[in-house]
Amino acid sequence: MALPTLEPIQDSELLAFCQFLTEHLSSGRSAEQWSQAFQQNWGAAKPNNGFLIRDQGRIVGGIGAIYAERIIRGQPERFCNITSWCVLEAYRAQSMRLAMAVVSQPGFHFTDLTPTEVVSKTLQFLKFKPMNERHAVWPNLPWPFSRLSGVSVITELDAIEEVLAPGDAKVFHDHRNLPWLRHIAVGRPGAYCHVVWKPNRLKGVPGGMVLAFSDAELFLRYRLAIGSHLLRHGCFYTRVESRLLPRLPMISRELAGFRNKVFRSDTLSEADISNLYSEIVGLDL
Amino acid sequence: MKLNPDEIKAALRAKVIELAKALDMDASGVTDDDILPATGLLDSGAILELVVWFEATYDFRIKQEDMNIDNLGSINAMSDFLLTRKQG
Repeated sequence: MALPTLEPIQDSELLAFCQFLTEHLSSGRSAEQWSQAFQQNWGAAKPNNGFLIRDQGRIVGGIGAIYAERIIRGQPERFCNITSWCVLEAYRAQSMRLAMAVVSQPGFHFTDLTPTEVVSKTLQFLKFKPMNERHAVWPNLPWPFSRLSGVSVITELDAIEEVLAPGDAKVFHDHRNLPWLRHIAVGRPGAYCHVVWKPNRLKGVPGGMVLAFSDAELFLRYRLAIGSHLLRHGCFYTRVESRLLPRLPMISRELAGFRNKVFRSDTLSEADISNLYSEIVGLDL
Repeated sequence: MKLNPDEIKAALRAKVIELAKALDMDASGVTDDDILPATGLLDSGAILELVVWFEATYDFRIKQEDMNIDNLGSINAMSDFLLTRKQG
């Protein structure tokens, strides 16, 4: 077999690649929905949308990449989130070539937040590190004391953007247009924590999956107020990836057995790897 | 067993060609410096098979933390890794 050609996915080719994904990876998601995830304006000048391989002009595989710039400890950091890695069976020898094309790009921290077991192992061969896969879960209870102690939970989007510190407000602004995400700002004037969550189910029980927060200490401090808010939305528990927490709160339980998310970075730790600015939030997963 | 770098590389090259052939790929032009995952000649399963064969043929065990592209990404890298391990 002649070696198929490998090329970056430019914007002009994005829809064709997304149609390939709809056809071969997930028919439940339209090409337009796939495309939306790649077209977020998240800061980094994106070099491409990933890479694809063609055989005689036909797309036979590809790997998507979502680029973003985040500020971490005051420094701008550029991320490349790998997503939607799909290669037709007859061309599977090309799959590693695609991954190599992505990770050979200099200047990025790389993540894959939804790897299959095979992809996770493959990326670990390419020096990706697995992250703690455990989730912490705790029950949500009524907490009528928030107001008395001056803690408020703000849900109105414009008001959230107004009370957050400028850096957090930018993160919120970058994600407020994604309709499947829920946002709150919780705290006191001058010290609000931005929390991003989604409804979730665990063994059939509805709860809230917290995807990200702007300040781990504030998140833990206000977890009762957050839980009470989630309870009012029919969510009986709060669930969050343990790796995002500096410690487990009291009355929480850890669940294990989830798939390891992976990342590759010379300078960042797993607590720095956010679900924001990635396919986790760019798609309604 | 006395290990000769040229023999190790020749054996690795032959194995790569055999594994690629099973994927309907012609790896006869592979060089010792080629980054194997980037060649498009082997998929991840074939690379794993190469590593398993490598361990069995040279009777050594590769630790999980050593299982990466730096040590096993090319024929040269694999040969160097083996010689270092056997001599160390």
